[in-house]
Amino acid sequence: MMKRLIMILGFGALLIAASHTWQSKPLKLIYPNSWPKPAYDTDRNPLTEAGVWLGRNLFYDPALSKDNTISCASCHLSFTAFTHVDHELSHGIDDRIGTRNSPVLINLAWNKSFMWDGAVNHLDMQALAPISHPNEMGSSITEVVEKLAPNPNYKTWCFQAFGDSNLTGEYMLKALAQFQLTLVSDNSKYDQMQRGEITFSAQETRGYDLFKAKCNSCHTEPLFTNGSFQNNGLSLDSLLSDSGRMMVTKNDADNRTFKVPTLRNIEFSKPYMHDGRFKSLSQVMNHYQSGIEASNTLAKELENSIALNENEKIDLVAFLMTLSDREFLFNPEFGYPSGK
Amino acid sequence: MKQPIILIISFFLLLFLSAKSQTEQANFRLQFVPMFGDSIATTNGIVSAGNNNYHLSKCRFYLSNFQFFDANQKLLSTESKAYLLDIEDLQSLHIITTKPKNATYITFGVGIDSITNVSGAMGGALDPTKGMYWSWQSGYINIKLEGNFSSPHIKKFEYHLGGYAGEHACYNTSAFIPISDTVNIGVSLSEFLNQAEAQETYKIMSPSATAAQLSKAFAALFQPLNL
Repeated sequence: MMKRLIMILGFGALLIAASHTWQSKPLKLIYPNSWPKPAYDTDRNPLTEAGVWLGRNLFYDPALSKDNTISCASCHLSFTAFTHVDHELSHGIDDRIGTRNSPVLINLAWNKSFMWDGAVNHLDMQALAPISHPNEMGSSITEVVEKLAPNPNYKTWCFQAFGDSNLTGEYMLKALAQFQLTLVSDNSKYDQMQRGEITFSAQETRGYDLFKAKCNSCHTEPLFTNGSFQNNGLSLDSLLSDSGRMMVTKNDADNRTFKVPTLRNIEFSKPYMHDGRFKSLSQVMNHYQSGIEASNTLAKELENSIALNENEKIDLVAFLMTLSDREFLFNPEFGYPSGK
Repeated sequence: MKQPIILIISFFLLLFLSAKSQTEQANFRLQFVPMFGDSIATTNGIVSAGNNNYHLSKCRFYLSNFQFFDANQKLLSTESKAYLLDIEDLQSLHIITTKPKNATYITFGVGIDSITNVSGAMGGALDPTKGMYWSWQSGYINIKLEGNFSSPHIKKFEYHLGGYAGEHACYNTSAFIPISDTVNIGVSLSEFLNQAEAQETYKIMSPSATAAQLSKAFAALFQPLNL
């Protein structure tokens, strides 16, 4: 009996000691009160300063690719809303071209699914896809962990983040998720207007009214997406022949549907659409006005083209420009990690 | 002053809890034995079972959620851990755990349940570095079976069975298996391969109705084995 008590006392003391040997400053996901609750459960992966730092280093490390040339940031640049600007289709190792336009990484904590087709169900697991894809990083999580785990920096950062210096797939994915969770854009002109700090110009107000009438059902405020999958009437590119979400669900009703992207920072995230076919917002406006192709999976909101005259198009684009968040785009905390 | 009291209380609470759980638990050993007909399956050489000859190159699968029941099949406890069994790692086929003393039946999940599949990154046997997670689409691969049929005709087979959503869900629970302190459980790979070959399915690499149906068949093949 006494022996057991001593053992338990000892174990308790050990636990207390262990919890004091490593400790990382907890971080809170900060966002406007009016926003919905995030979809990501941070109780399972609590944000810490060290966890975010580890994730940020991984995000910028080309060792994640087979030939050490491509990092996450190669296709997701911070100052272009974390997408591959000026590339319709993103390219990976050996200059191989993929089949889709790299999506922006903005407000991911609210995403219920990932990738244009929703093939990935959780932010933690998203990184596995580009790491493994032969046209992107061409490696595997097993290979990457083997490569990075002996690195003394990663050992230190991993210990600081998770109390264990042995980098595993789980830690790597959780740290990458932590960094990406911090990519919150909530300080655009639109947000400042919502908070009553500034007022819109007459043109921006007209554009906002048009937006609410014609776009908001899918690109729903405040995140500017409702997370659903829709066919927005793009003609089928016969070369790519991309059936979108149907490849995941194997359900005909999902043929050629893609996830509704957020419009935040759209000024900086060109080109547009899942295959990057439109280079400018005016091309996008023209598509919704007169380019919709009918098909049996077309979004019902688009069965009648969106009527916009030339002035209205300009007003709408003026509103979309209010979604640019320069503080987000040029936040040094999101850039290449150095000096720590 | 307040802290030592809390500490003392929590130590006694711990003591109480550990004493309680220790009196009820007994050690328990499970040995899983993949079979080809009447012989133990291995990845060495060609094995005959019935009219067919096989060569097996890979056999890995997840078992999870071990549940212990009393003689009336009333649930006593659940162990929510997952195990990755690999025919090439004999230790992985041998599971040592504890069971409630009066447990007389066991069931277990074959594969990984849907909740786990949508809950993000996991460690241990569930770490994606174990090679049992799809990368292009979320989800664990519950069962990997690879090799060749070498008679009546030569044909490569590759079954990666998994999927957690809707009718493509591939997680199944075993039948009730009577247990004592140790138990041997066989799973007939030859029977599974016969079923797959009978419907001329040789390759499955993603969730589908066929994958769900074959996963169900695989889970039904776990039976107590008298060695």
